[in-house]
Amino acid sequence: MTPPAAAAPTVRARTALPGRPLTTAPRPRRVSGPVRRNPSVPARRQAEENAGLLVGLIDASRRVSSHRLLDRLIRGRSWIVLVAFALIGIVTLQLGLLKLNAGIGRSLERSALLQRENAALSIENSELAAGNRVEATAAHLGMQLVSPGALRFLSVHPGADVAHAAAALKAPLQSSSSGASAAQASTSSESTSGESSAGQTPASSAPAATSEPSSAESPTVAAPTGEASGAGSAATPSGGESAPSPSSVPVTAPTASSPTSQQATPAGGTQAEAGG
Amino acid sequence: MAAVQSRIGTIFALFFFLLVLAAGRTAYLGVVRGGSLRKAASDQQLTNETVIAQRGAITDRDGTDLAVSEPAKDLVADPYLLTHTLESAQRLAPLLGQSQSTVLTKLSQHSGFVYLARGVPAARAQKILALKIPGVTGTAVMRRVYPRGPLAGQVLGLVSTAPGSQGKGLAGLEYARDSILRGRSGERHVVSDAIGQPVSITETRPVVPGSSLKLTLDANIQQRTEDVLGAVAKDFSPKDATAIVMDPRTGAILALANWPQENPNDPAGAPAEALEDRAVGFDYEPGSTFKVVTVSGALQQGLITPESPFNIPDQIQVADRTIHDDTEHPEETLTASQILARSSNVGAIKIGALEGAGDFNNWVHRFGFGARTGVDLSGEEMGVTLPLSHYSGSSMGNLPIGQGELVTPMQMATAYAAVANGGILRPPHIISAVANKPQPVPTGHRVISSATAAEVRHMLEGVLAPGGTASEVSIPGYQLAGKTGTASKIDPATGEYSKSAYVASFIGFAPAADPKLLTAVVVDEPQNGSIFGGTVAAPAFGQIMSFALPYLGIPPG
Repeated sequence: MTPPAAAAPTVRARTALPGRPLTTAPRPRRVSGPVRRNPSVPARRQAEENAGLLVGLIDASRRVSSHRLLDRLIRGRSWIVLVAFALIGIVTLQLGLLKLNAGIGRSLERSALLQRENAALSIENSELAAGNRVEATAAHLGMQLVSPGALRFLSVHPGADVAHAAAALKAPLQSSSSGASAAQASTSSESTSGESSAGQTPASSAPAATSEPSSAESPTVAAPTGEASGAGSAATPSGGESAPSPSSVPVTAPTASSPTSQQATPAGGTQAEAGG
Repeated sequence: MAAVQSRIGTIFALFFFLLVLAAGRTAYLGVVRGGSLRKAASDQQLTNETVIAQRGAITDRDGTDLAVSEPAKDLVADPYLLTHTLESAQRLAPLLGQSQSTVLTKLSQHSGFVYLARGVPAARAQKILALKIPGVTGTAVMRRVYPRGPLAGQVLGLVSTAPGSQGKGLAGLEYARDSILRGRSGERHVVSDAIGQPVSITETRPVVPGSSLKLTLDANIQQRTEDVLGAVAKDFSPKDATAIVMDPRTGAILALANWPQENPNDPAGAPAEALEDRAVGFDYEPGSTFKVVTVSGALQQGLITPESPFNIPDQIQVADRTIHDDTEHPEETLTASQILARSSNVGAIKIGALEGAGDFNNWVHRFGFGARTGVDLSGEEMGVTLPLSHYSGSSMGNLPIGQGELVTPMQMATAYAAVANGGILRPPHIISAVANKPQPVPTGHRVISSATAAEVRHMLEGVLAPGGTASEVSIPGYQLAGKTGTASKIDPATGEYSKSAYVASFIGFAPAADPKLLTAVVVDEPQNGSIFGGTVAAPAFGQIMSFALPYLGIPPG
C-alpha cells in the first residue's frame, strides 16, 4: 500500500529544522503487505529461556549429586553390587543375543535342509506315482488293466432300485464271508452276459480281500492308483468334472487299489442291480 | 628382605618386558598389518549371501509334480590351489559321477576357475565338499527337475542353466509364465564367528519364492496319449505327431503330447525341432477335417439340412481346377450327412458354393481361424487364411475342403470343441490355478446355434459308422463322432501338392450326443504305406479315448 502523500512533507520538515541534531534515522517507508513483527525479539527471548533451562538443569544435577541418598550409596558397598549386577546383565544380554543369532543360523540351515528334503520327496513322490510304474507293479502282482469294453456301467432306476435293494436285504447276512458269497452270487448272475466277471463285481458289495472272480479269467484291476482314483471318482454321484450322470454308474473291479470306489459307489443303485 | 625385593623387581621386569612385547606385537598387527588383517577378517566374518528364490512347482490337475526346483550346487575348482591333483581326481570322480580321466583333465587346466559339475543335488554336493579338498568350492543354485522325464516336455519347456541367466525360463510354460514361477532372490548379511558360526544375520532383501502353477493336464492321460503317439510313430515312422485331449465344455486341456519326445532333464539329448510344441506351433493344411466348418456354416445359414441331397460326380471343375474325390465312383446322390461321412471333396465344394465366398470367409473367421486361440502356451502360431480380397476363381474349389489355408492343431481342436460344446467357441486353457488361486474359465462366444451344433455332431457320427472313413474305430458303449483328414503337403521343391507327403489327422469327441471329451490327433508325413487319417490317426484317437473315457468316469452314451 502506498503511504498517504501528506506523510512525506512532515519528515522533510523535521530534517530541515536548523540547530537541532538529527538523533534518529528517518523511519523507513512502509511497504505493502501484512504487518511484520521484529524477528529479533522472540529469538532473544528464546535464548534467554534456553539459558534458564540450562542453568536449571545444572542446578538440578548439582542438587542430585549432593543428595544425601546418593552420597550414602556411593560411600557404601552397595554400589559395587549394583555395578556388578549391571555388568553381568549386559554380558548375559550379549550372550543371549549371540545364542539367538546362532539359533537363527541353525534354523536357516535346518530350513534349507528341509527344503532340500521336501524337494527330493516331491520328486520321489511324482516318480512313484507314474502310471507306467504302477501298471508294471500291478502286472507283476498278476493284475491287468481292465479293457474299456469289459467295463460295465449299470443303469440306475431310482424307483425300482429301492425295491430291489430292499429285496436284497431280506437275504440273511450271517458273517463276513457272506459278503463274499453274495458278491460271488451277484457276479455269477451278471456274468451270464459273457463279459469279464471280475470287472463287473459291484465294488460296494465285496471286500477286496474276499472277492474271487467266478470265471476262469485272471483277476483284473480297474485301474492302478491314479487310475483307480479316476474309477472311484467315476462312481461318485456328487457332481464334479468326472461325475457320471445319475442315469448310470460305472462298476469296476473291487481291488485293494480302488478303495475309494468301494466307498463312493452308491450302495442303493449298485446293490440293487447286483441283487437283481 | 632385599632378596625378596630383588625377586619382586625381577618378576616386575619380566612382566614389564612381556607387556612391552605384547604392546609391540599389538602395534605391529594393528598398524603395520592392520589393513590386510581387517580385510581378511571382513572376508571371513562378513558375508553378503544371495538367497536364491525357489522356482514355483508345476503340477498336474491332481497335484502330481511335473516340475520341481531343488537346492543344488555348482561345484568349481581352482587348480592352482590343488596340492595333490591325482589324488583329488580319484576322490572326486565317483562322487561326481565322472571318470577319473575327465576329472583329472579338469583339475589339470592352467586356470584359476573350472566347473567340475553344475547343478549337483545339494546332498551329493555336501559329500563332495566334506572331502575338504583345497580349491574345491560350491555355489548355491536351484536345480530344475522334471520327475516324469519327457512327460509333457514341450508343454513344460526348459529353464536355463547358463551362468548369468540361470533359472530363467527358455521355452514352454517355463518361459511363458517365467515371471510367476521365478520369484525374487533375496539378500542376507551374515556375521560369523571365528569358527564360521553365524552370530548375526540381517535380511537386507527378503526372498520371494516363485508361485506354483497347477495345470489342467492329467498326468495319466498325458502318459497314455504319449504312449499312443509313440506307438503311432513306431508303426508309421512319421516326421512328427501331436495329440490334444480336451474337455470341450470348458476348453481345459487334459493332455498335450508331441512326438518326438523331449526330455527337459536332458535338453541336449533331443533334436532342436523336438523342442517345439507342435500343437500350437505347427501350421498345416487341415484337409477334410475342415469340411466341418463348411458344413456348419451352410447348416446355420439354412442353406442345407443334414438330409439335403446333392448330385455328386467323381470330379468337379472350379475355374481352372479340377478337383477329384478320393476314390473314383460313378455319379451318385449323397445327402449332406453322407458327404461328411464319406468325406466327399466334390460334395463339400458344392456346399461351399451354396454359401458363397463372402459367407464362407466369415465362417472361417468365426470359428477362430486366422487368429491365435489364446491358449496360455508360448509360441502359438495363428495360421494363415486367405483374405477375401485375395480369393481367386478357384479359391472356392479348394478352401471348403481344407486346402489353401494353414491352421494349427490347437485351432482345429478348438473349432471342434465349439461344435461339441453346443456351438460356443471357448479359448482353450492349460493353467487351472496360480499360487493355489483358481483361474477363471475363459469366456466363450456362440458361433453356431445349439441346434446346428447338435446336427453337426449327429452327422459326424456317420464318419465312424459303417461306410464312414473311420468305421473301424469304435469303443464299446460309447457313441463316437469325428472327422478324418488326409491333406497333401506342398512340396517345397516344386511348389505343387506332394504325391508322397501327407498330414493324416482325426478330430473327434464322445459321447456324441453330449460330448465330454475331445481328442485331436495330427500325424505329419506318415510312412510305411499308410497315409490316411482313418488308418493312421483315427485308431490313435480310439486308443486314447478308450482309456480316457472310463478313466474320467464318463458314462457311455
